[in-house]
Amino acid sequence: MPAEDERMNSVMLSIIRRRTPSADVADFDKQIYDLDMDSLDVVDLSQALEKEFGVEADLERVADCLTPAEIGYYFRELIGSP
Amino acid sequence: MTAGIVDIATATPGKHVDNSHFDDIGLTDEWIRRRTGVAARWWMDPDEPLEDAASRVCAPLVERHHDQMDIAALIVASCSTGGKVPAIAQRVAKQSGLPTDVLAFDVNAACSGFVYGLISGLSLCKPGQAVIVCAAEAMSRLIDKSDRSTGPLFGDGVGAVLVEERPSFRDFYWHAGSDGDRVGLMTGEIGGGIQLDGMAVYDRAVKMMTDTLDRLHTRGSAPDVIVGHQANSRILQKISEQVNAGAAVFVDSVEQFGNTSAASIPLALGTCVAQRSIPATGRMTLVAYGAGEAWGGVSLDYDLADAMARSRS
Repeated sequence: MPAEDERMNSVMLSIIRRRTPSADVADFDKQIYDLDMDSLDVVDLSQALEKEFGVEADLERVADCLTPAEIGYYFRELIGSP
Repeated sequence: MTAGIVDIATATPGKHVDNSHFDDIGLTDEWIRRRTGVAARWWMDPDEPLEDAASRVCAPLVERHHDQMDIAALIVASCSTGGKVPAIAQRVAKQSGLPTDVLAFDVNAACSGFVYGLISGLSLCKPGQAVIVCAAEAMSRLIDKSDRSTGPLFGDGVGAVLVEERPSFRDFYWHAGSDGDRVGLMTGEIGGGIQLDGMAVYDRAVKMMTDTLDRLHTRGSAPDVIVGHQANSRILQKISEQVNAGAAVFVDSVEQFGNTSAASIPLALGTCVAQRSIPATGRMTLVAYGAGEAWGGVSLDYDLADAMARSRS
């Protein structure tokens, strides 16, 4: 797994596990609200990824994402990785 | 010499409203607390004029200090006066017992109003003079209490501080900013409800208050106390995790009052004085973010030993 993916997974799990301690990468396709996360958790996730990768997200785009995986895809676009 | 805070008075007129009030619109205590940290708030009597509420906290400061100091100015911060002419500061000055030779004016910078008023008051203060900075908010008159998004968030309250120059006080310094392009993030008017882009406001509040604290603290004088705008405990928690606050007390009184806009910082400070949960003297940093957008912070010295002694008696 590329180092960038590992960094992204690590950041995402650190936020998601605050609400769902048992969460794993396999859960990234679940609905955000099924992981017991609320809208402010989504902002926390976005800010954590912004900080990790030094990018600035469009919060409206992030808010449209239904799953952590979709947020990850959006940030990969921002970062410019495949 | 430079000015700092030497006295404080706060009040929460009206009725105490806990989260069970919102059972009817399907919001539980657990739901509200988890998202906001709010357990209860105070709502003023709808018929109480805001200037009367403000006078409740300004009059004691005038009573305690007018013999020793020339109280040269009174600044009243509020976003819930209804936007009418005239302002309320002149009536607050009269009702509080101030003489007519006083500079009295309103400030509306929404949740940043107290910080903006304090920056102005500190700047106006000259040797032998004092300035009262008051924040008075009746947010219950703006909110739609049946709105699930904003109804539980806001509360009412009033607070005022007296600032004066003392030889022992170190220089105060401040930083502030505004961005009118983001005016749509938060709007409201009496009887019209409050419109709030919750995710964007949370995002911006954390970023701008963290940035302001970092800017102030890199200029020196580590604070003993940090009081951020008390909008939401999760915002305060996030900021406390991100700033290098050292051993400073990071104040959170959201649980007791909800978001009281400009009044939130003096209400939080008043609670600290009553509970003696901060050093009686030292340095504090106050920081706020609110509608406009308008944000800012100020780092200043304070001596609240007399106020704490009074609260003990």
